[in-house]
Amino acid sequence: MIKLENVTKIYPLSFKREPKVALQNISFEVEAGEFITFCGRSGAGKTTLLKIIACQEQPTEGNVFFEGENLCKIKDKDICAFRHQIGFVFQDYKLLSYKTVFENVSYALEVTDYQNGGMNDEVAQILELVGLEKQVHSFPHELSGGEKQRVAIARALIHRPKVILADEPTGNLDPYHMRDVLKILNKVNELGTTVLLATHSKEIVNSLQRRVITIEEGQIRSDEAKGRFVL
Amino acid sequence: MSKKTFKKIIRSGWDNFRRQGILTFATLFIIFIAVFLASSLYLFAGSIYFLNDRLQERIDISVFFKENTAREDIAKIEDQLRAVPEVKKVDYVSADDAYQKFVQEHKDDKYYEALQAIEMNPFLASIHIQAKNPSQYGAISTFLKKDEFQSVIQNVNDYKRGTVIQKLTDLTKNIRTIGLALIGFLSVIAVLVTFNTIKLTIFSQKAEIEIMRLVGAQRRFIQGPYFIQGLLCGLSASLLAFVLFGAMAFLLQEKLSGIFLGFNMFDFYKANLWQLAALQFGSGLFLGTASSLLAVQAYLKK
Repeated sequence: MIKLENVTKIYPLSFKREPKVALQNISFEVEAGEFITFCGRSGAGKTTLLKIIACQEQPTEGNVFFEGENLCKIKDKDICAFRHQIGFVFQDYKLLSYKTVFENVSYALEVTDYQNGGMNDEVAQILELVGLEKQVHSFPHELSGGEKQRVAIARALIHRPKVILADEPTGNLDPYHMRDVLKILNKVNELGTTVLLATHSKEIVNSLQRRVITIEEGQIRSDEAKGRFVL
Repeated sequence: MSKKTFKKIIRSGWDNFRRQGILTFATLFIIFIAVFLASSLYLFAGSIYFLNDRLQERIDISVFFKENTAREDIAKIEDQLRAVPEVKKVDYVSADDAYQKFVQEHKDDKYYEALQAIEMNPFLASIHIQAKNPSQYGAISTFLKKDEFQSVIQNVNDYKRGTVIQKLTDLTKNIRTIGLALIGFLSVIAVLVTFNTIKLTIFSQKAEIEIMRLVGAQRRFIQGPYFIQGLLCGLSASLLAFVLFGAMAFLLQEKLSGIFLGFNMFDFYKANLWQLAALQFGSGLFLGTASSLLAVQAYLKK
């Protein structure tokens, strides 16, 4: 489903400073329905890797394929259609601050040119699934961290994406909310959605018992089918 | 674009306008300032033309006739002057009229007492000539110095006209040139300041635009609501400027009339209502929409 071939990402830095190598010769494949955890210290290159898969960044070298299409050669006009197949969950939630919970979730559906009349019902259902049915009309600043993250997850799921990219989704959460988020991601994966999760949490990596790709200084250190936290 | 999508974009723009209090206020305020400045410059231009006309009206050549000159002789000279192509207007003021005018103007002061003391009318009959163009006063003055008129003319009041008229002509020209240059300069400054302020306020939306792009929003879904928001800001700011400018013109008309040689702001406002409205709403809507489109554009690149 997703394939990375010798991906290298170098950020040119300002005058007199050495360019920063964020990723170096990264190659791996992701099968549909997999749950992969990218594990590594802060600054190891996990976020850059997810950004490249999401077509937010272009690799300096190498290729990224999504269902056979080379994302390095994707045209501007096709990026929107590609992103409709992906759901994003971030550590800092990235919610639209002037939209209500309902509008934040429905926005992801609206931009796909969703013409089905049942949009309101679908949004209500997904908000019920993440336990936010009472906060439908609240604005993000009125929610707790855990609630914000559940809105972000609802938004990532509403358009039934093929892949969920979750970048440190539990980073700002207490252990109780952390378990909630992982439970939802597991559930989504069981229903067939591919999940790519970036984290530096030993507890999460060890509890998942799924494929783990460990990244260290921009390179893959290990890729294990039932991995554990090795750093 | 479907009707449903169009409605969603308008709704979203309206929601942004309502909810983004500080951003909306900042944008609206800066557009209001720019529109108000544009209106003031329009008014300034109007007053410059008004003052220019008034100054030119006040420039004339006065010809005073010897005592006991027959009205017919003066009328002949008037007719001859009217035949001169450069002459715009010739007004006759009899000695009695001049006396009455003086009495009217000075009935409460010591000049009137002095006039009564001499027990006679010291004023001479006169004609006052206005040229079509201030530069033509020289030719009229030369015309009046012809020998045939010297038997009836006491004096031609142009002893200082040569320099004064020229200075006034130059002054009015300069006022107009400087005024128009100032208007042009201030307009450019206003547009630049407005554009940059609105761009800065939308730059604070960088993160929001990035999120929209991440969830796969197409250009029209991102740009559309900002366009509507800019349109609403421009419209509100223009409306506010239109009303406040009218109120200001009404309230200050008498005070400013004295300063600007009788230029009445409110009369000007009423007489140029449509042009002023077009200027205010045109500039407000243009600034609101163009700057929001330009600012969002910067974040829509891949």
